[in-house]
Amino acid sequence: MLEIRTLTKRFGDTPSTAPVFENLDFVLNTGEYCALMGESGAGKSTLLNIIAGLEPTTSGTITLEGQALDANIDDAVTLFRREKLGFIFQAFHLLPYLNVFENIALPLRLNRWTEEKISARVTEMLASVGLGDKRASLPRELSGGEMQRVAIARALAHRPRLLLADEPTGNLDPDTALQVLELLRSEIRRNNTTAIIVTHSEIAARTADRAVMLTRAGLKPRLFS
Amino acid sequence: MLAKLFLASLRANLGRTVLALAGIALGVALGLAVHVINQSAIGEMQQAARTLSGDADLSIRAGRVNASGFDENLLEIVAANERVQMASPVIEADAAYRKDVPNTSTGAALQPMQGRQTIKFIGVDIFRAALLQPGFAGEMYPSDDRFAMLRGDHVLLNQAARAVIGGGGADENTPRKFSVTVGGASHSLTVAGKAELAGYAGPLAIIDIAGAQTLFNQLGQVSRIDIRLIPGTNSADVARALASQLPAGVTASTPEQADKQSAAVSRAYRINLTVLSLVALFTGGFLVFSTQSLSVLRRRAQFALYRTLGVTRGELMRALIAEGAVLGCIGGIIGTALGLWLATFALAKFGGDLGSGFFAGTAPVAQWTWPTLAFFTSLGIAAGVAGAAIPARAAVNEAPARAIKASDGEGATSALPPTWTGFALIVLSGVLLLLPAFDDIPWLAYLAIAALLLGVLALSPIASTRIIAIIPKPKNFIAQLSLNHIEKSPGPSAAGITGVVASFSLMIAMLIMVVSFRSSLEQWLIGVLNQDLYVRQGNGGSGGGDSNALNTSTGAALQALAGVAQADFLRYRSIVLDSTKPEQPPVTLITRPLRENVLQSLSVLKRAAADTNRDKLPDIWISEAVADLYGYTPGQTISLPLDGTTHPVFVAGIWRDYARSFGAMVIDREVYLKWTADDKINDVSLKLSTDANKANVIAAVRNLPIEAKLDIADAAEIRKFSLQAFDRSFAVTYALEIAAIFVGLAGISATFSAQAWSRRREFGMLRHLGVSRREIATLLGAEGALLGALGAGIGLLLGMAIALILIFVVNRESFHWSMELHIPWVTMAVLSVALVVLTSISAVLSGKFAMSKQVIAAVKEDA
Ligand SMILES: Nc1ncnc2c1ncn2[C@@H]1O[C@H](COP(=O)(O)OP(=O)(O)O)[C@@H](O)[C@H]1O
Ligand SMILES: [Mg+2]
Repeated sequence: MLEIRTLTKRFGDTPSTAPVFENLDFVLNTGEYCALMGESGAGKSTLLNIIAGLEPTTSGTITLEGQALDANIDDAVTLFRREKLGFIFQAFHLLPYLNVFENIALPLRLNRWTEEKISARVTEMLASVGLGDKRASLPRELSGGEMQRVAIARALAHRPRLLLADEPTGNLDPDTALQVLELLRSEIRRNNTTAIIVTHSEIAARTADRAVMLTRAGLKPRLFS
Repeated sequence: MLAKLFLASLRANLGRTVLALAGIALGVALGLAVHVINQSAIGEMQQAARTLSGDADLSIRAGRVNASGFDENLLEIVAANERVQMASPVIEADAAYRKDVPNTSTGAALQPMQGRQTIKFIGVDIFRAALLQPGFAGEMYPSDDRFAMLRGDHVLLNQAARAVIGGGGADENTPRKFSVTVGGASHSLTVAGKAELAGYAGPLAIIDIAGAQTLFNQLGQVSRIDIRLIPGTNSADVARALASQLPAGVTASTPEQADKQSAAVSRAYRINLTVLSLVALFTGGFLVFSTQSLSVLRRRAQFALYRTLGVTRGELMRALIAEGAVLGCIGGIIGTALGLWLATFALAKFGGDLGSGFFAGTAPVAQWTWPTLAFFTSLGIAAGVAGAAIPARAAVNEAPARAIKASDGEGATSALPPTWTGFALIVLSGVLLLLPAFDDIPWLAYLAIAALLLGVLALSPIASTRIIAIIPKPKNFIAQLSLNHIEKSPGPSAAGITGVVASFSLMIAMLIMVVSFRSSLEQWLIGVLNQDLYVRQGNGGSGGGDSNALNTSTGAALQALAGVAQADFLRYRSIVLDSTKPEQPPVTLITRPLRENVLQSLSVLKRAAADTNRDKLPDIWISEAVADLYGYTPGQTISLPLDGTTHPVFVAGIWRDYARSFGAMVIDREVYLKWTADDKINDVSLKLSTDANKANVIAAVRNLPIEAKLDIADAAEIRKFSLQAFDRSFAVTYALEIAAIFVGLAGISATFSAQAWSRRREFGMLRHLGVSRREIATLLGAEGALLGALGAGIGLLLGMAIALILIFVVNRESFHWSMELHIPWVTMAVLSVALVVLTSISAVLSGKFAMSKQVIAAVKEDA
């Protein structure tokens, strides 16, 4: 469903600056859950941003479900993100002034769902991430793990085609992280979504279907023994 | 150490620092400029008066400049006092220069047409007067000897007067003869020499006192006696001793007392303007408050870190206050410099009265003292400290553990004063309003306005939350988000709108006051000017001047004109009602035929009860100011001092007078003529017969075979000019209001530029979720509009409350006149919409950062 061909990214206009990555090729099949690993500064976040159309490419092509992506056409790419992508961030980024229900409803409202459908879908998501009793709470009343569960519900609520999670467990303690990863995996399955999770942790990577390593030399499969 | 960190932070937030500085500087500059302009104008007026009296220890005068004189025999009584060394009689009067004089060396076409030129004539006994003011001695032209001056038609002119009569002021070009018109007659005068009085800049002619008495038709009268006392005598003592020997209405005053009196004329106006300009400073203080609140909020984690590292509460508090003080001090110094420049510029450009007419014709130079400058600079520091204190208190009271993890908007309400202070301030304001004015200036009312303003501002976050809670959910999701944001984090938003609420409410208050005043004035003018035509000579009269008065034969000639159904003769006199109050300017006594329809035109506010026993005494109608200042009430009998005797009169009622804030009284002309031989006329009002043609009557008046240069004005025309003068005098207040609004908007802009940064992760997240740049702009615009609407709403209500105080307390107490309340709904609605649009635009413009690429990267920051 996602196809990346000869992707090169260089920050700045001068060709002399070293590229973050060069001639990258990558294919992700529908329903696949892939872990993206690599050293700090390898360009993982940059790659996710490029896939999301938030960062223009220097050269190369990206197609998602047969559609070519061009970050320079801002309106189209914004709509594409709104409908087809889901995001999970390391720092959760829930809106502090909205309660749990409204935070999860955010992408649904952006996609102009009806109130009825929103209510049903958010209730469903709340139940499946185990926060049925917290729908009226404000983010500051939640623990880190709970916040990230809300973020998972928000990321999947509008049934995105592709989920992008950038170190979703980076701010959590190991136990909580594991619980969140379990939940993330089961929710990805349940919602039939394709997903990329950026992580440093081998344990986290193992919860995915497969793992790839981003290095200077390109993307390489990472196998766990 | 801490100081360094804080300085670094001021530098890091340069944009906001500059904004806060600008707010303070602007406020200080406006306050100082208005103060300096007023001081300079008043200073020049007093200096002119002092110059003319030289170093006299005491002056005896009948009321104000231009007032009718008193009997010259008083001179002997005064001179007989053993403590008086020398007494110099003076006649002071204005005469209109007549351009069409024969033998002018320069052609009329070369003379600048500056309307009618008047020359001030000082009639003195030159030999005596020169002892007090050496300038009176002057310098004779070679052709004339000193004794030529005794001839009565010879004058000494100063530079300005020589410029008026032609020749540009140069000696050799100055014509030796010129003419003036007095009392309708033309008089030819000879220029015998020149006299320059340092400190008096206007056109001035020195003439022998006997000549002046003839010229101004004041035989046996003087307008002033300047006295030199035996050295070592206490002048105030002598003034008191003389008071018993002086006829009613004539007072002896020291130069200090005279200064006070001349200042009193414009005092209320000056103070109102000063207070208004302080409003700008006040708004500047709010700008500091909002920028400091935001910058404190932004540095919460940083402060928490300091606290964890062992910085005490006291140290942190002092550092934050010092930060505000540094800002205030720099802003104060810039503002002081700017204010001085502004004052100098305005004085040169618009004159001392800023177009209001209070000091017409003067072009004073800026006068200031170092203490004044220090005071205004310290006001800047006070604004900086006050603006920093509340957020500083919130910062030090926060538990470090919480703040170190808190994101920017949360818990921000703690930066605001508690709700009860709001209510307490509003109650305080009410109490202050119940207290009476003192010193004739409504200080307490101003304090009440300040308390009300602060009280409402303290309550506005709560009010905003409540108001937003009842706003129906908008359809647009983006609008919903902005509503949610403001409702849930009222702290920074409220800090942001304080400036707007303050400036907008004051703008609305001034607007309602000015509109009420203007429409009341218009109504009043329609009533007062209910005849068809008004005739007077030169700039003839409402001051009570005699030199331009008409005589009865001119009056009769006007009455006899074809087309004139009725001619009413009006005479104005200046009367000192209470000689125990020498600093109180005299009241104007208006004499005119008092028919019932005249009374109707007077807008009578209160009448004596019909059954009051009036002992057949003549009626007198007093203006509100007389009632306020002297405590007279309808139904009372008072004594009216006139030319040395007093007459008992019956106070028949109170009428409204917008022309004379020191009081005016009306009596019937018949009654007046029974008391005095003074049958002069200052104004003639003409009622035309129904079939008369106005233009024909005007032509007939022009063609009257008299010397007088008559001014004929249409009632409508006078109304128009009066309203124009009114608008001019308030023009400067509009400028101040607009300046205040922009300071307020700067607060909004500061809020949004700060929030764009502190909410960058939020905006970054939204961009990830598929919110476009345009939608972020919409979000900011909606928040700006919402804040603008809240500011406008609160400002409207507050402004109306302040307007009521201005109209029913401040104006009553400082000008002694009442007015009808008129609320300009349409203008207010337009201004509110404009405010909403402006806040919305400034929100979008200052929130540009929120639309930048940087917010996308911000989601990666560890919160
Ligand atoms: N906006 C940017 N401008 C310039 N360089 C950037 C920018 N964003 C990232 N980089 C650089 O690109 C490289 C990859 O960054 P990033 O994708 O954040 O790495 P990772 O997420 O793998 O830790 C880093 O060297 C970083 O400094
Ligand atoms: Mg990264």
